Amino acid sequence: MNGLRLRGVTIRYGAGPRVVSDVDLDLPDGAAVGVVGESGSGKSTLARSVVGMVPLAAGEITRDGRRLRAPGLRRVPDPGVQLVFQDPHGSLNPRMTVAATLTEAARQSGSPERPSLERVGLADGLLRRYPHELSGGQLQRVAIARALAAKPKLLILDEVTSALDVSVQALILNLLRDLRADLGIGYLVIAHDLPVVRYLCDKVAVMHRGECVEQGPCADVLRAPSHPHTRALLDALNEESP
Amino acid sequence: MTAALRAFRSTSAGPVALAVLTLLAVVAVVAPILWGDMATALNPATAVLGPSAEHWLGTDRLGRDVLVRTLVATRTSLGLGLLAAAVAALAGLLLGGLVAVLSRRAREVGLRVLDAVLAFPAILVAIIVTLILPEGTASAAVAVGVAGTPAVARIVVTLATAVLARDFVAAAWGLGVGRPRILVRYVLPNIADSLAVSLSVVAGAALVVVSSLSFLGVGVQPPAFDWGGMLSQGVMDMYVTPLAALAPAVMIALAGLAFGLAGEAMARVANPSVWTARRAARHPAPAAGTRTESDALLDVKGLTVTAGAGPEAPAIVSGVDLRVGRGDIVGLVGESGSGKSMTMLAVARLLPYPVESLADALTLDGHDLRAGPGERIRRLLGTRLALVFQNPAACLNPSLRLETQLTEVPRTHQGMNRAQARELALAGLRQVRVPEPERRLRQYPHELSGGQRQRATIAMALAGRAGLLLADEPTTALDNTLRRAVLNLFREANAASGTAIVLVSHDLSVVRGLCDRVVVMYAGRVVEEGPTREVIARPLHPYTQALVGSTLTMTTPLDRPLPALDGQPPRPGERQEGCAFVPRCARAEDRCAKERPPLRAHPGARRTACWAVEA
Repeated sequence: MNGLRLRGVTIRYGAGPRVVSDVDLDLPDGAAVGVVGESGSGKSTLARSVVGMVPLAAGEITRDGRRLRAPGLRRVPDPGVQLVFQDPHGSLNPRMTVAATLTEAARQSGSPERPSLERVGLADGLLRRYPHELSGGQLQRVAIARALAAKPKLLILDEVTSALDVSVQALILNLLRDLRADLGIGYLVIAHDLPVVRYLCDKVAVMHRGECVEQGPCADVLRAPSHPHTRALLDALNEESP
Repeated sequence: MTAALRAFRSTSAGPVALAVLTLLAVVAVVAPILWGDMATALNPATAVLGPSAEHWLGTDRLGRDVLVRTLVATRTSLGLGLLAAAVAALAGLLLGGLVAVLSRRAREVGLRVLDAVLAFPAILVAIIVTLILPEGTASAAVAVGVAGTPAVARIVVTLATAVLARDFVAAAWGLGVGRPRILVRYVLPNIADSLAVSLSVVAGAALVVVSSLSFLGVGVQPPAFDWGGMLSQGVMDMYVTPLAALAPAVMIALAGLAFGLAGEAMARVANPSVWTARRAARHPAPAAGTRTESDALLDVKGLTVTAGAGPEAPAIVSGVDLRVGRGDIVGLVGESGSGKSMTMLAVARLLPYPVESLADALTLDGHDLRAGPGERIRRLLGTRLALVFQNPAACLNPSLRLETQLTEVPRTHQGMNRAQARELALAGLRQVRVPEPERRLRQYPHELSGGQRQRATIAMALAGRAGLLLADEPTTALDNTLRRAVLNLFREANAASGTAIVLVSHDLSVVRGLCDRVVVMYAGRVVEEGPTREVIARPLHPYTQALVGSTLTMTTPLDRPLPALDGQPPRPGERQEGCAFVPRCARAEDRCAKERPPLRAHPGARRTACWAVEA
């Protein structure tokens, strides 16, 4: 299979308890898979392990059949998988202008041209600004443009809309859907917000206390959840919007 | 560069540092040229004299003028101090940078080695290195620089480690940016401000240590002289001509102080986000408040919040009215920058400097809050008003046990003793369903999960039995299940003790679940208000319509783009005379850009500020 494949992924910090326990997940090229769960369920840690920010204690992650992460394997960056972070203010170097950030990303991917801001719906006038001069939504779009500069096959979106205003959230979600349609890239969407996953993804995996308790097509899992924890997540949502 | 200089001078320390350093630099350049010969000319006839018209600060043992020598010594002393600092800074940066980018295990080893070297007194290292190096004036400075290197390296490692953990470094690494480049482009610029302060302290200290070496006789050797050497000789005649020792001592202190101040100002310059910061004078406090008649618990009329004082200051909030009755639950909705949080902070009298507020009326339980932060107002806010913020980690003190923090309000404001306050805190934690409350009280905030921390701050807020609870995005950082639990707590507190609640949020679904009434803000003004259900079911203002439309639910259609609001709300200071929503509004007419629509009443206890909506 071409794409990302997680097998028996287990993560623990030092000698502590397992944060992620024996997770299997398949992301064929171009697929959008959501991982949902409460805070502390291990979903963000799982995402970070894919890009090598967190070492695996057991299991392996392969991409296009090549071993990417495994215990003891030297951690090297893979330009084909890029992570977009939750906090747009923390994910851009505060001492670099937008232009410098994008130029740097292009340089690393060996591309002579700076990625355009237009692609992410921003005006070129923002190029000379520093991160503190931009709004959260603008910053998040710059972060997406930076990730796209590496021409990734897969974007990991770690709660990318949860720090944004509702109206801005809608803009980013529309942008992400357009990008996927245009570029054919895949998404691994980490979110606690079920409607976001429903809107962006074909498949969903539900995590609870480090374990993947249920996975399947969004339509099936969200309509007829089989695990009590998935049902609890859905109930919490329904009670809020009477 | 000019912007940087302006930023340097705009700091409080900047102008003083600049003046003293310029003066010292001029003296360092000019004095040896003008008085070089005079400073070294021996004249036994005038030895050890007190101050006179001819020798303002008297003379030393060999009859040389103390003032002239002190001034001439400026060049050597400053030069050596700066050389020492430069050596320490350069070597420290290299060494620290190297240790910082090592793998985690190697870094631990490097750090322990640095710590071991640091345990050895720097001045002893300096003396040993001086003795090893070939004799010469510069040797002392290099030795001091070498002795100062581990300290700088240690600071660099500590600062760099914090930056290396940030997301933007991870993003750069993920793109394939190499370690040396990460150090130069990502780490150094972000530690430059803190490092500037540390380096200026190092420069000041280097100056003193070089002087100390000379004082001890291993530094600058005669016939060359610096302040330290002069001090050393002057001390011998302390009781005859104290000025011979005092003059160089004062200069050492002055130069050290100037370096420190310059470092502080440089730290500001190294941080571009403060360049744009505006300085403003403090606004005079309004007249002291007394009890006025109002049946509302919170009554705000014509609230204006400005960034700075004076009529030119940009308005963040303009003319906001907010009335909260006893037991009411009101939602305050708007996007970032709409002024909703500033309105709340103005009510709590917690506006950050230099933000100022003015209001026609601002009363809590009939008491005027506009008076300055006096004891009466403090007590009133402490007992009647409780606050819950978005980030529970930030509003709990990480170095105090939960018990200390949860019992503070009842002990300070309600005169309870420790046992009573502890019982109350326990009851509070039980009420918010924190498991094992006795154990939690003994714990520090970092030992609790995010949800438990947020519930603890809510327990803290409810412990004071305040009449009004202001909650700013209390559930934004929480996931759905915890969000529901927190909203239930608010509902229970409201039902059980009639606590009125103002819930500030950008999320309509949270407001919908809790609030009876909602107030929608845009660009610092109220644009719509009314009963929550009606406003969400049938929003009148185009902004509210967009807000409701772009809220994602489990039934949002998947086959078309979400209705989204493009563009940005105007920033404070950019706001025009007409309606602020015009650039993003599909229904804007000519009139909207020219005339600001007032809040007009509509059937069903609703109000909206839009010309397109029939009154």
